[in-house]
Amino acid sequence: MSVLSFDRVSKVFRSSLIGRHLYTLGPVSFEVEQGEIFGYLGPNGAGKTTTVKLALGLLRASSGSITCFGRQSTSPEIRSRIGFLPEHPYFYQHLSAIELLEFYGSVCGIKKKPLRRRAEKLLHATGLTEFRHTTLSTFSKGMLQRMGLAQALINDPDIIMLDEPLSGLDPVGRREIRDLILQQKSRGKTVFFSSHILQDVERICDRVGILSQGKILQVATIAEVRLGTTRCVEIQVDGLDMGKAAALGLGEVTKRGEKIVISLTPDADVNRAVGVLLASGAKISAVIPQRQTLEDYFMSQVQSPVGEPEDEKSRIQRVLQTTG
Amino acid sequence: MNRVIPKIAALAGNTFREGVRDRLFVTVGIFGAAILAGSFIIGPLSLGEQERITQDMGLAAISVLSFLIAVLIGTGIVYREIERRTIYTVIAKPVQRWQFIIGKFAGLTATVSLLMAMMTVLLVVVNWIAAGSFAPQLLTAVFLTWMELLLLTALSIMMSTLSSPILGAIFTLLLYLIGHTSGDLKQLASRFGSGSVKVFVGAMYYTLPNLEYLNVRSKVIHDVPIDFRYVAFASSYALLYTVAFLIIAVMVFERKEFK
Ligand SMILES: Nc1ncnc2c1ncn2[C@@H]1O[C@H](COP(=O)(O)OP(=O)(O)O)[C@@H](O)[C@H]1O
Ligand SMILES: [Mg+2]
Repeated sequence: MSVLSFDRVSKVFRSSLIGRHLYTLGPVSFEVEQGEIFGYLGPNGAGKTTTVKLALGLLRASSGSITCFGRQSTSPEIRSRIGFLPEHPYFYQHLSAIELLEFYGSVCGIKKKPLRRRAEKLLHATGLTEFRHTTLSTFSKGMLQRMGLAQALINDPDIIMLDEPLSGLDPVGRREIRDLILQQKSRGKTVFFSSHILQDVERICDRVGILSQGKILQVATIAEVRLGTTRCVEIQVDGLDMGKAAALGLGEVTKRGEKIVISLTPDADVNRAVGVLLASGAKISAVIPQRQTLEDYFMSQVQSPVGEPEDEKSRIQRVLQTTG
Repeated sequence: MNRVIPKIAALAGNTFREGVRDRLFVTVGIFGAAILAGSFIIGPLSLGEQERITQDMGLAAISVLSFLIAVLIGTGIVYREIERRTIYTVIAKPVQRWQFIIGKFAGLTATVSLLMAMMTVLLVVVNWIAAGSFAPQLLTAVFLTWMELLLLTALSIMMSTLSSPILGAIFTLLLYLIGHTSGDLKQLASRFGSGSVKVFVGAMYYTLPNLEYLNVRSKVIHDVPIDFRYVAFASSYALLYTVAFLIIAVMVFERKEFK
């Protein structure tokens, strides 16, 4: 079941009322499924933040529709089921951590007593309990990010939208936030998670949408992306010489140190190849799939977008036409 | 959708807290207390006029200083939330935009009211010491000033949805000055002005709020009784403008995008 769905959504920024068009997002279409962590991957300036703001109604789409739980995503009823962590979270400097959480909670309509319990719980979960009475003006970047996650979870949302939640954090902080995200997933919640860092996405996401220059290049599962990134399968063998190995015709044969390495194409039948090798008296010492890093894969996707390359002007015109 | 009042109360409470934790509020509060105390000290110099002096200075101080707080905080109240990007997380929560504006209004009104209440208590005490009696008319004057402040607070908040704090403060100050002098301006224009000046001043007089309706200081000082019906009329007049300004603020804010 899809929880969040973007249907041909576009956004055109104008420099002024009648000014030149500066930048266009979309049209983008994708669906986020119930209970998954959806990674929204793209380089800086790709349009990730714009996408998130459109979903929350901070920006209005120029065309298309965004539905969440089957209804318009920006209605207050739906927003009460969404948690949101902005890219660089800023909070009221005059409040302490606990005051801030209680403020957000009451803005969500949560009653005082359950709110207090929930706020304390979230401070604990985000490791901020000892700073509960510290004013936010003294918070470090990492503490603000944790605070941001805590406030995003205050209404126990069914979907959380996190805009670059791991950026600017140290390894320990990244790990903590990552664990909190995974914990949400294990509770059956849905997570939309934008990032420009591939490793973060590969590590925790179920599926990714790859965004570049305002367009979605691909939506795929991490497994699919992994499969697509397998360059070849290497079989390392002993007890076979180069000539004999080449004669088997399984794949390219090279010598690496003492070992003979046979490289199979990604779609080759590895079982059969191993069988053939064993039958010819070889001793298998390793079978290793050789993978492109996701980074290389991503770069190749970004550099050669699917379909005809389109210049900015014609893209804007097309979007405006679909806008009507 | 339910629990609208608690949501607005939370927004108002936060605005109030921010207001009273602002250094500006404390500064203005101390300044107000100093003026009231000062009026008590210079009072005796005015031979027999002590009561009038403390009343006049006190009421004027309450009016002007409350206006100062309303303008300085109010004209930045929405603008700064956008500029400091604190608004993203709030607007993403299940609140409606009009609730945000009403919350801001209620919170700033509470801030201004607190200042007014503190200064009024001080004024009554000082007046009591100076005159040896309590003048209930003082409270009528303060009440109408409070009504004026509702209007001015709404005006400041409307400005903050439209422009930068500096521009908003200038416009609000301008409307404040015109509001207190438009009656005089109209008289001047009708006596000396050319045709177009008359039309212009007339248009201003009939559309902009006439804040002198809410100023009964001279009546209070000279012990002229104030009719209850007048207070009701002047209050309704102020509320009408207050509501109008808030409606405009909400309409502008509804259309805003947060980039
Ligand atoms: N208010 C705006 N006016 C004009 N252009 C904007 C505005 N906001 C963002 N952009 C442009 O939109 C593009 C995407 O921005 P953004 O969504 O913030 O990207 P990301 O979050 O992926 O880094 C950028 O090129 C940025 O310059
Ligand atoms: Mg961004």
